Amino acid sequence: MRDSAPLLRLTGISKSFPGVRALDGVDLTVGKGEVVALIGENGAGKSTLMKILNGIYQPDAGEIALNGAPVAFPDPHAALAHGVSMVHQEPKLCLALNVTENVLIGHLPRGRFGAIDWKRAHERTRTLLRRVGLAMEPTTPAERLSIAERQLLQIAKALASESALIVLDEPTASLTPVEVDLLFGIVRDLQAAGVSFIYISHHLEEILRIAQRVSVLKDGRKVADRLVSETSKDEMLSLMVGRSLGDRFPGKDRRAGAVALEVRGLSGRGFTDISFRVHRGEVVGVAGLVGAGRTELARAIFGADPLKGGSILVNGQPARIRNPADAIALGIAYIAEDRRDGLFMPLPVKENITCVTPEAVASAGVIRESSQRRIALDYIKRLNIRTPSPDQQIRFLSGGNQQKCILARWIIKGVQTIIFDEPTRGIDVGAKTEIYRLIDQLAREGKSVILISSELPEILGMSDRVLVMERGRLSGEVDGRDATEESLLALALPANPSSHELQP
Amino acid sequence: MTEPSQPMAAPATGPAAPQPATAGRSVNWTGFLVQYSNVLALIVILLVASALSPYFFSTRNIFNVLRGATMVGIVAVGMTYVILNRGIDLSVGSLVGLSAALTASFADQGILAAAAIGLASGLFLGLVNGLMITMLRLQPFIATLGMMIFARGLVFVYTGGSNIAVEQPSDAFTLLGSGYLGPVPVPVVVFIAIWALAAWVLRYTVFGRSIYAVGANEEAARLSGINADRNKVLVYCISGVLAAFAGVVMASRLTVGEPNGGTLFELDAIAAVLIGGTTFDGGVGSVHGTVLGILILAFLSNVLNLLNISPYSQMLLKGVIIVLAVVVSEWRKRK
Repeated sequence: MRDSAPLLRLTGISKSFPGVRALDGVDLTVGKGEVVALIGENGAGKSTLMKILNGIYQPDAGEIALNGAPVAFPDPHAALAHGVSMVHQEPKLCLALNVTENVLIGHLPRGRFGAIDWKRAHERTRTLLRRVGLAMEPTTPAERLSIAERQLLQIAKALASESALIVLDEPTASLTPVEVDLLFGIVRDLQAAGVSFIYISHHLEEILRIAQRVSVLKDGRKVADRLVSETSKDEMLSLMVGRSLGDRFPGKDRRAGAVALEVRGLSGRGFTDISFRVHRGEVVGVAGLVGAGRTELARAIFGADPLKGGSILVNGQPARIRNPADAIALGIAYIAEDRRDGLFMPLPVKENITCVTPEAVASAGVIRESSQRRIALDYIKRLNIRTPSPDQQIRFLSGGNQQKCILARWIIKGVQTIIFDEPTRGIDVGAKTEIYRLIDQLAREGKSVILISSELPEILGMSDRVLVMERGRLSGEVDGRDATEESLLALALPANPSSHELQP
Repeated sequence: MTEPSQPMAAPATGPAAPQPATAGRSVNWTGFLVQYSNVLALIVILLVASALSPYFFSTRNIFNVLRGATMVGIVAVGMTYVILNRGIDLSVGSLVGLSAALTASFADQGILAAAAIGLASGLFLGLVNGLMITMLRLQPFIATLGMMIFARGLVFVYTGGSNIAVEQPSDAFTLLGSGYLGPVPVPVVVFIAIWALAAWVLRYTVFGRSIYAVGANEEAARLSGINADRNKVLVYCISGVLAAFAGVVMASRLTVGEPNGGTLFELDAIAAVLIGGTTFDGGVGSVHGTVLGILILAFLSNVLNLLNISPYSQMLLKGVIIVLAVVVSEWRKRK
């Protein structure tokens, strides 16, 4: 090493969003040729930190230093120019273009008259491909590459801009074990050549294999730095979890009634052979990693995506659900993961609240504006929705209030079962508590709630029972009173031999 | 990852967000100008016109201008539905021509039968547009571009490329296009009726609100149990029927079916819709805006004619106005 300063030193990085302190004084160092793993639960701040490192967000406080010299990354180009690149979980490539164009995008070699020197470009690409172990022709269109090859291509792209630090964000999420071995081989080779990596992953075994150090984030703070040789999976797990839940969640003294919804052997795109029951008056949590198939399952039950097999029973009767309208008619509602999938941004609050209940606001297809307004005002008051008027366009409301409008819709509809998909994502703490209270109230009124969430404390705080999904399958069911973050994570993490809590 | 994806979200515990849609206590002149820019534009045109020519504010001139605008106006009402629905219908001009040719050629069967045949052609081809877009998942631009060329081809094949003249048209046949109700031309009365009905449907019916909902967010509409595909098909049917109705008016007015009838109507209609503040993003706009757009375009060209400015130079101004109108409606949205 030429220099005693580490390649990267982040000092006291803080970042707040309205209502959320995403990062609070985080320090992180990465040495030359080192692989540092960054772990933490969903929402711990990993993405925010990496977005700051890549110039997508600006920190509120703190310093980024490369080789001891402070730098600023006002945008991703600046980060790239300083040798910091990011390999995304889902590779961002121009699929219609060829490999060379993707690898050298932005710095294709120019020949005479400024025309692209394709011969030199392909030559250079071939060299770079060799370094990441890819053997394809540089003229291959990127769309013909497998996911694993696309990951490697992104690394080649990072090398093309002479990156000294490459951030790998969940690079193995969709790779087979053989491909993972290949990727790790490449990472080690590059490491030997002096390239450093920040490795983000939920797969703790992988971290033990590839990283030298591990930094743990929790609730926006860095809680630990360990040498990988001196830590264990169990220690990493316990560092990631275990915070006090406080009294954000309502009590769970609810009583489950008859079965409202049952699915048997349900299969579809992204999930296989799922069976479970949901009772009246019950909140069933669905935990799992991003990509475990939870949203796909929910959308298929709701009729938004096709099913490949299995059956759905509503109140014990076999149900035929071909589209969301069928599901709604059977008393099932789905509140989408991405709030924007549920909102009509340019339309007023009153219409966003009453859009699924024409029967309540219209007769013979003609809307009675007075009833529409009355119902909207009623629910704005009951759900404490902060809006200056029911005529306000919903796009001007905060995330929490938008979410309450969507919930109001289904309460007015009087559905029996509501599937919440990440209902509190990106909304502030105060509104979160209100949503929890509303979910609890629904269950107490005898509704059935399915709560999909990537935030384990939310699952633990709300659920009477927890289903855990792992790579498209149900990997276990845990009683809501016995569940701990550790037990759920153990079931949610892939290829985990210790799934002793698995129940039929 | 669940890092806040919406840094815009204001804390719900804070005071209610200010309402940008209504003006504050102090009068915001820029906001006012942006909000009512098209109304003001029309007023300016009318004032300039009356100052320039004493002839302008005569009943005859006004009604002539209005009557001239009705055919594109009827088409533009249908186009408003389509664009609110986040689509586009390029075929309407050809559908006008087809319907006019059919109506003219069946004139001897009586106006009602002839009109019914014309309207049926628009309904059927509009239905085909809708089915191409929903069943074949074609982009509306592509589906209706194909229909535009196909339907124009139909007109040429059917007419053999020459005009179909109505032999000794009856008074009943010419009433719709050339008749008067008191001092008011019949087509103007009919247009006002269509305008009122179309605006009422959009504002007060579940179907009308679904047009906005599907246009604003098709996925959300689907997840709300709205049959988005059926909604779209109906919208293209309405656009087709209205275009065909404009064709009936045209046949009645000219007593002839021209192979090139209705050419470029689609672009004039789109221009009127855009000037009226309906945006291509879907879910924003109104028929009233479109009528304003039609009036602006019609009176503008009337003024320019009175000023003896050639139709060629008029196009320069029209192009600028359309682009400006869209820029202003972007500002309006951002407020």
